[in-house]
Amino acid sequence: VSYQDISFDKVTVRGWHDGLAAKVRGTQNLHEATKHLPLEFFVMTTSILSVLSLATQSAYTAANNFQDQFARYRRRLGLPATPAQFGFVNDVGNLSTDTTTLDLMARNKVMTESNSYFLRLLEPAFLPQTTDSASDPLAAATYVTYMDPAHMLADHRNSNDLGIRSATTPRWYSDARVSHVIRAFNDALHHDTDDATSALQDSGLSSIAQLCNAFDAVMQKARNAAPGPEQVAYQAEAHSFVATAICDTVASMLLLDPAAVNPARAVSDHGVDSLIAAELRNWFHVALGYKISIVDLLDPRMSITALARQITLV
Amino acid sequence: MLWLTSTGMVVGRSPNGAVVGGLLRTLSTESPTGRFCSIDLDADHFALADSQQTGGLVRVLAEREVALQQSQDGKSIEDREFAWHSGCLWVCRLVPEPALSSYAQPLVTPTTHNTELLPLTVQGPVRAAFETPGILSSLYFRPYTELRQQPLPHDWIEVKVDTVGLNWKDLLLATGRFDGNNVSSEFAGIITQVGVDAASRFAVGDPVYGLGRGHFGNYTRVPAAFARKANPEDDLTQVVTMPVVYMTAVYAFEHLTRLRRGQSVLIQSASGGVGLGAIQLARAKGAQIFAMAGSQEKLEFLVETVGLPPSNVIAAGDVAGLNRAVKATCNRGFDVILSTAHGDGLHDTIQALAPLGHLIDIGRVDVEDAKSVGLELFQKSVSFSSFNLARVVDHDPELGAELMAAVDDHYRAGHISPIHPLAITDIAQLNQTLLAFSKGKHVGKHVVTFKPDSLVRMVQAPPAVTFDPEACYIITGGLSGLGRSIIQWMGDRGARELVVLSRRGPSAPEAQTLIDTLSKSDIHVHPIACDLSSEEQVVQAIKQASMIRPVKVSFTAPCPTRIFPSTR
Repeated sequence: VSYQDISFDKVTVRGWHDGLAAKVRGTQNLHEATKHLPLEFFVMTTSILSVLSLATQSAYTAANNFQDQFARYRRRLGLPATPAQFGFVNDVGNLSTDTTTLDLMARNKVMTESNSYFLRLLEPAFLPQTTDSASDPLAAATYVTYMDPAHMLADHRNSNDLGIRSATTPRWYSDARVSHVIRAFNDALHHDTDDATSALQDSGLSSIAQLCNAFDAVMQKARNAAPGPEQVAYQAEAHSFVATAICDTVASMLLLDPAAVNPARAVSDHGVDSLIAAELRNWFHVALGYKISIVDLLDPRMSITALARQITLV
Repeated sequence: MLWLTSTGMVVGRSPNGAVVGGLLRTLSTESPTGRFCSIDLDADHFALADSQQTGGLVRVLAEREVALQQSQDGKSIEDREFAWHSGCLWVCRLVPEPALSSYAQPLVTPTTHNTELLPLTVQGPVRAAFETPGILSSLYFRPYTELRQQPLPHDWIEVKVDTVGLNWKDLLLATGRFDGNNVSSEFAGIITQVGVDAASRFAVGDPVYGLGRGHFGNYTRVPAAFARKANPEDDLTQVVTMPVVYMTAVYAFEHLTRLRRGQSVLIQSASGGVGLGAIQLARAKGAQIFAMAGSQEKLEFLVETVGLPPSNVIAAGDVAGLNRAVKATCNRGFDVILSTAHGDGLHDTIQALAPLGHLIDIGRVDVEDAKSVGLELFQKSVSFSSFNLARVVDHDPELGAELMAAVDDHYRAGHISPIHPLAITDIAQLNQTLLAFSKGKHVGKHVVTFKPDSLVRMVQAPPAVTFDPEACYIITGGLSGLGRSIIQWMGDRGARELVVLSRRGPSAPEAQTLIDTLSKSDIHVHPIACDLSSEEQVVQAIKQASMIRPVKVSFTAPCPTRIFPSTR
């Protein structure tokens, strides 16, 4: 099975259909072929990527979301169905040793767990699930695993201990659907007495907010300064601030030493590919309020210094 | 972009709108500057039931559109997907499900799950476990999930336990001084399930007693060969005292040696279960019985209650007493000694053997510790045997069945009777009982009853799944990686017929190895080549599967996403 691995604007019609074939057509076909049988369970293991909505995974995300909703459809018909959403299994299968995938999971703070964890959480899929949700009687149709605030906290501490600072916040953190999970994670961070003060500063969300504020402040100064040498000085300060921020972010996404990022060169020269570019572009938007196309971002003639100059133009 | 669909997805009308929702999720990650929002209506072709609803919807659509036009900082939490039904807009939230979080724990112990005092029968089969191996007071009960995860072997029975007999060896196992993965070894109860090969001898509902390894479970599964039917008038708390002690005695007196009328037999640790059983069997055979015990009370018990002449009762370690007893055998010594002695005691005991005598060691301490014995002790043409009943039965199940049959026959013929005195305690006091038993001061036998409403310290573990060996399970997703581990996992939980649909089917290189490995455990994997996106092939494959067994579960194993960075 081959999935589309490129951003949606480059996906061909054929590629889109192929991407949906196994999960969407496959689920429909299995449903049609078995609906006359007295099945006890119709279990679909789907991917948590449909919650995380990572860049370049449009067909896969759509197909998984289809399976999740297909369970509601079957349940309305009175047929059994349970899609169980899982994250990344890190010790079985080809992907568990694929560095591109592992890096992607790490950058997006996706919880990865072992095969035995996966099997333990597969168990409830085969047991009758009940729900007491009055507003959504079909809520028990799906359950999501690999979304554990305690685990997120442990991972976060772990990265802190290893001195890995993340410059970016995964986009899924701001998806309202997971807001309870993120709130629980943030609460856990606050109550984490071991490093109560540093936790606040190091949480991905707050580090971006700090960067954002600092950027606004430095830009404000440059804008408000009287034209002349004073403004030139402030503009240079803003320029160097942004260039440093870009270098730091590129370094953290590529797991490089910040000193290894050369501001005189383009981001693509440092190994930013289209997959990372989609995430980097999100960072430009959130942290610096700057809209940039993938083409411009990956332009080999556009050095980091030039990029910073463009952003800081008053 | 505001994308409207009309599929009634949330209420299960149709899943087709989900593709759009999934696509928009990715699009908004890929283009952070774009604004996307989707609303799915619970209606056919956007035809809402009444005009009032339509008005409400239009207002909401306008609000969403305005919201989309406003710039967004990308930091705050944002709803991008909505459902319209029952006259209002709904959003989706993931909420924690406590019932599921207990599955995330790798181990179920009192520390992770807390214990509660619960009635024994509250959650089906339960068994004893020790939080700290070897520490009797750390005893607790937990769901006996593994009991029914595999189909019952053909020559086994499943029993709802009424009573369990305690033996010294069980205690050594529980305290970790002996190695083995059971803590109880005999049972009496009512049959709840019978394997095919045992159906000629047993039926569900039969009362039975016998030898069988267990964990103080309220249910147990045991080989049928070591069980015998109890009569309706039998008291199960009585018959449960017999299997271990009398099988030991029968093996010692009828197999290792042939105890005959008039022969002299010395029985050590005579006031315990095995000792009292051996006395009964030796009596039935007309042997002259000498008995040893470790305390004054026990010696008095042997004289007053068991009825041995005072001259035939010897205190353990009393060498003079032993010599007096030897004199009483016309200085010949004992023809048979059932020994639990070790160290110097064992040495003295061997010297008390008559020519051609037979010392049978059941204490096993020196044997387990690999102590040496001087061969000069065998100058009188004596024999030395040492055995552990569990090993005998393991190595020669046929002999084990014969021993249990002999016990039952002797009992029915009136040669032997259940062990007395008998201390009956309930499973609710199991840890106190084990502690009391470990002091070694008791005479006779301890049995533990299983009253259904007994309160025990129990861990509430999440329910576990068991698959039906008679059903066929369809799995898609192939035979390697996660598919493989799921197949194995289902087999571990009782599934026996697994149809695996994959593109390559049986020709996949990993297929044959997996099939061969699992067929050894009687798990049959049937790979079928099938392109899931072809309706015709799927229908054909399901037909094929239905011919094997009735299909019970369809299961799509994960197809892992493959992620590549595209080249620039």
